[in-house]
Amino acid sequence: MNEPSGNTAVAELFDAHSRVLLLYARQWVGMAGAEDVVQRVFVRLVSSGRLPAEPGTWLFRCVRNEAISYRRSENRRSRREQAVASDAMGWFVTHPGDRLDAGNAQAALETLSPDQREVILLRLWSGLTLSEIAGVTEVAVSTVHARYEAALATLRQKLENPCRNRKT
Amino acid sequence: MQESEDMNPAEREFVEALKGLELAPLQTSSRWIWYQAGLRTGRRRATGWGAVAATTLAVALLIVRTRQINAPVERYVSVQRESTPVVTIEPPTETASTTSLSAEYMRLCNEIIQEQLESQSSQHFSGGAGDYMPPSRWPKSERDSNLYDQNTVLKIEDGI
Repeated sequence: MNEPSGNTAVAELFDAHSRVLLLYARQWVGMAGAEDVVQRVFVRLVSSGRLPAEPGTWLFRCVRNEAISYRRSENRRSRREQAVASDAMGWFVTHPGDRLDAGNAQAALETLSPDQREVILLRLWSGLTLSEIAGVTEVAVSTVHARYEAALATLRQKLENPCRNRKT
Repeated sequence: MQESEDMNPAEREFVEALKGLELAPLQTSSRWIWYQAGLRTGRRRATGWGAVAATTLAVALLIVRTRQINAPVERYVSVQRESTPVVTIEPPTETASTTSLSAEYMRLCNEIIQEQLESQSSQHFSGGAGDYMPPSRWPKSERDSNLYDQNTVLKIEDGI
């Protein structure tokens, strides 16, 4: 743990990672739950008064553990509430200039297995290296690499040739 | 193990397109997180002080309790006794002392009289010619005086 370099460091971490942390948390819980999870992690970070040695990795690991714990507690609630909350907002913000359609990208990502989707999210949007992802997901680097390659191939197949996929 | 070395340009372009998608923002603002963090810190401090106060109180109660247990206890034992007859020792009455004194005095008097009688009787029995002279023949004055002595002797004999 490093000494805090002021509130600006946490603010920078929030600006840099909050969105991808939200998307990462949504792999386990709904939209409202993901908001709660990310909020709790940042509140914990601010309350501790110290910055971790590797803030990025620490944040994703915390969000992962918190989301899994949150999902266990959420199982007691009705699934309908979760579904409504999940559908309230998409994973991506739609822009006319995007090369890929946000809705299709989300749909393609949802078809991936949880392990592959986790690796893809962490690699593409968080900027973590494969070894850091291995540390967060607690698997070997080779496993992370294999999952990433497989997930990427599946996404390319679904997003670049959507019509062919629908026929098959 | 870098995946970028293995990717062809088309794959790299696809990855860049995916990265270009803007992620949905949080509904929660950073200010709300700061507020929650401050609230949590305040609660933690309050809870900490409460815990300290509770611990102190518990320790104080424990100490007081321990002292109360170790302190000597004064016990009052009441024994119910049966009523015994009150023995009153009466002081020696004046009559008793007077009686004993008078008895002692009388005894001494009797001894003296006895001695006188013995001396007189020895004179009577050996009076003059050695004839016995009964008290009836004694002179009147002497007979009266001996009369008392005879009674006295009788009394002494009764007392013995």
